[in-house]
Formats: sequence, structure tokens, C-alpha cells
Amino acid sequence: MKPFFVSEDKLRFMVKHTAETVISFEVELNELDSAIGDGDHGTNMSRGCKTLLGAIDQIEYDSLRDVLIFIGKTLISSIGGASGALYGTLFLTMGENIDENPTTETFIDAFDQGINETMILGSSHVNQKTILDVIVPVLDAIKKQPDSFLDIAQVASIASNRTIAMKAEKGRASYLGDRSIGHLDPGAHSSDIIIRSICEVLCDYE
Amino acid sequence: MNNNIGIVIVSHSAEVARSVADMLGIMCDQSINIAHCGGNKDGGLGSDVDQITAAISSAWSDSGVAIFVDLGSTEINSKIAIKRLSKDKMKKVAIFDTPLVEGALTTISIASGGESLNEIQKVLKGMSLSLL
Repeated sequence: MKPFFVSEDKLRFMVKHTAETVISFEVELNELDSAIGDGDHGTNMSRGCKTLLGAIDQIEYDSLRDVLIFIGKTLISSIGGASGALYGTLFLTMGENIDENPTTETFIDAFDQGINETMILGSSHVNQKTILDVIVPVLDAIKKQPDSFLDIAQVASIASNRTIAMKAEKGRASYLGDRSIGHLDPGAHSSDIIIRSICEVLCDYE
Repeated sequence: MNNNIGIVIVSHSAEVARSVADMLGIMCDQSINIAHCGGNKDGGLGSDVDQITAAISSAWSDSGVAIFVDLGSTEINSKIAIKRLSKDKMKKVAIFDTPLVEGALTTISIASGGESLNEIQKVLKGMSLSLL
């Protein structure tokens, strides 16, 4: 796994590829959310990603920091559901805490702070069937500095599938109690999709 | 000007928010600023941080602002809107975790007497959804 030095073009491509992939999962995410939530996670994520796609070529940026802040602000103001606030806060906080020329260590630090802020906002922690059940294991995997970004992608998918057995304790799904068990969490699934898309682009660097 | 707090109604639905605010307006004596917003930027169900930020500023009172929400994204996006305020203003805004209509109705009936945000929070403690 190489450090997080990505060229501007590559960064732009990464954002586009990830946004397009999330949009392609709109129907699937809505179906998952219909089972245990209000059925709009795909629509909401898709709205945010379309806004991102529409704006990414217009913005100028010099660093990963700028891109993360831009993504965070865009998602917060365009998704229109709790996921916008949560994902937006994750990216925005990461951006605000990352230095201009990040190393693996400073990236991990910024990711850590982003997750912390997201936990505070959602008053949540792991094992509650949320996006945290994917992004926290992913951060742990990055800390171990595996050989390939594909290993991180795999961690995300395994972690996402683990939410099937979990009982939801946050969001609308929590009102279902035990009936939430047996369903893949839509937020965990969208996190998995995002992480996998990013890793797909980064592994070209290996 | 008076010392009464302001009230913001945030719902997933623009219609629900407007109706609740209209009802509050009819039931109180116009000494309380009431603002409302609901729905996402496309006009569908959801919530929008920019609209909530605008509603807080429109209902602003130096005595504080009480926000009533209908769960989920309305609560979490209200938290983001509060984080966008200056440090001084931030301390004067509270999200109430009561049922939207009942909490807001109870609040206008006590807030027109100039009660502080803290005092109102104490009165409404028994209505907290966390007690369910």
C-alpha cells in the first residue's frame, strides 16, 4: 500500500468513479432501506452524488484537503437525509484535519477525527447497524497498512455483511427492534460501495 | 422587542412544518417568532441544512431559539445547522426531543411569559421521546 499521494486528475477521476458507482446502486439501496427504514437512502445518496458530479469539474483545488472539504460541504447541503449530515461531516472533518501533503500517518489521524465527529453527531458507536460498522473496521485495516488497497475493499465488504446479523439501534430501523435483524444495513452497504470504489482507483497505483 | 424565545419547526414534510407553524401562530399572541421549514432541496420529503439555518435566523431571539423536529434527518441536520452558528449564538439554540406538535404547543403556552430556554427545557423534560 503506497502513501496517499494522488494526482489532481486521479483525484477527480476517483470522485467521479465513486459518485457514478453510488448512483448505479440507487435502486438497490432504496430496496434495502425500504425493508428497515423509509426507503430513500438510494435516492438521497444519488442526489448528493449527482450534485457532486455536476460540480467537481468546476472547482479548483490544490490538495486532498480541498477536495475532502468540498465533498463534505456538497453532501451536507444536497443529500437531504441523515446520511448527508453523517457522510458530509465525515469528509468535511477529515478535510479540516488533514495537512496539505498527507502521509499515511496524517491521513489515518484525519480519518480518525472524521469518524469521531460522525459518532458525536449521530450519538452512535459500532455494532449499532450503521455506516460506522464499515468505516471503523476500514480505518483499523488502513492502520495495519496492508499490502494492497484490495485488502481494504475486502474488509469493507465483510464488515458491511456483518450488519445483517446486527440489531439496529439508531435511526428509523431501531424502532423495529429484533425485526431489523436479518437485513443488510443500507448505510453500511453505501459505505462499502464508496470504500470499494475508492480502492479500485487507488489499487491502480500499486 | 420582547424577551421571548423564538421557535423553529422542522419536519420531513414542508406541508407539516407549515401547518404546525400556522397553528402555533393562531394560538399564540404574536410575541413569539415562529419559523418553519421542511423537505429536501427537490421539494420531496427530507430536510435541508440551508433551510434550517435560514429558519433559525428568521426566528432569532437573543433569549434563544427552540427547534422542534420529527426525528431522523431533521434532528441531525438541525445539529449541523447549529454547528454553523457563531459560538455565542450556538449556546442559545436547543433541539427539543419532544413530539413535534405537542412540544411546540406546550412551549408557546409558556414562552409568551418570557421564560428562558432553560426553564422551558425543564418543563418539557417529561415529554422527552427518550422516555418511550
